[in-house]
Amino acid sequence: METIYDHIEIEDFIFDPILQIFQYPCPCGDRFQISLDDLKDGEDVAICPSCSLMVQVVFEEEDLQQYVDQLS
Amino acid sequence: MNYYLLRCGSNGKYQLGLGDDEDKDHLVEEKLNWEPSKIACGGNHTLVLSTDGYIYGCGDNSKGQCGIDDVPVVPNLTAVPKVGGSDWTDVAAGWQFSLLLNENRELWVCGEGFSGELGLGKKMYQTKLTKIPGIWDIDQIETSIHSVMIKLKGGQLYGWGNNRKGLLNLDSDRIIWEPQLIDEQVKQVSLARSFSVVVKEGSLSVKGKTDIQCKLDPKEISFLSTMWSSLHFIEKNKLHSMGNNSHGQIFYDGLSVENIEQISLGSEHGLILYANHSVSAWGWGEHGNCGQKPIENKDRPTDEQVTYSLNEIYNGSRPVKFIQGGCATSWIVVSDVS
Repeated sequence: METIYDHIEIEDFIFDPILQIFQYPCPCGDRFQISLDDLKDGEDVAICPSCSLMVQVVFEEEDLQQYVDQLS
Repeated sequence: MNYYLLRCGSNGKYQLGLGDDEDKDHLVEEKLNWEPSKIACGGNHTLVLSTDGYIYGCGDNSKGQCGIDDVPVVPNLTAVPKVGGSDWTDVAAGWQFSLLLNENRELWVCGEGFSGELGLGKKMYQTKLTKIPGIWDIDQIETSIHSVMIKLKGGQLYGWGNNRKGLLNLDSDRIIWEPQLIDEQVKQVSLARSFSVVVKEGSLSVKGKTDIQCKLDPKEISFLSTMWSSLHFIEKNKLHSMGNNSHGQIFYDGLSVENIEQISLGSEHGLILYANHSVSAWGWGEHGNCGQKPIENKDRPTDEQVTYSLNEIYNGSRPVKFIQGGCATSWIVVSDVS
């Protein structure tokens, strides 16, 4: 069983409107990532590509619209 | 006297300064012809201050965070230019930015940050080495990923950068774009990723996003420091910890500090230097920053496999000057046996 390392609010992530992913610093030096599509599908665990740590994204469904609006 | 820099851990962007980008689960040694006095670790870059006024940088420099121009990465420790020939006297590093102080008490900043951590004003997101206005009579610089706290010798506390949940100052906006006086008569501060601890003569306050609540008498506290998400302090000669314990960050409570010379905390691991010069590591050690473990399962390790409880990483065969924990990196400065 993997524990969640921490809970991070969605507004603390940096949103990349081109790649449509949210990123937040990981203690290893890389970044936790989760895509906008995953969040829309109800997924809420962001993973780091370089290690086993995971964070839970704290958000409400209505929070997502402001990021959808940033897409060109 | 010769000095040697020993390091291990996360190295994906050359932050160990060894000329390669492979993680190291054992200490790798480099003989220096200068004497280190402080090591500052950013997200993926490292700056080492020398006793003769130089700063040497290595690692990710894609945002100019090493203070060296026009190279995306600095594979080996390389001297940062001395502005105007002045000696550097202090250094600190955040996620992708660095702060450098010189003998004229000028504070210089370089790198990138979107939350005001450069301290240069609104919407300043990236910079080469630039002076932050003012004269800085600094006693202590504390950085976390996107925030800065500076305590002056007169006890004034300045802060800037990410101020989510009032981590720096409850009365300010979410981002503080320029240095702001946030407290006075401060004795000591520690800045974690999303909370801060401010120690004054008769009080100790924790601000920001955290579950940590503590009522401590500052007079009883002899050491206080933070990982990204936990607080560690020595009270009446016992080491105590509070906060996130997802990976053994808080394995002890009330550990006696006899024979402990220094404690240094990284992002989610800690290092203890003992009087016999041995060094042990605890906490999250997935990148080799807490040394080796016999279990091999690199693909999908369990939490247990990446959690360490006081694993010896250095046996004390030579005298240790100081230790430093970084973002899943561990650093030890040793000298020849005298």
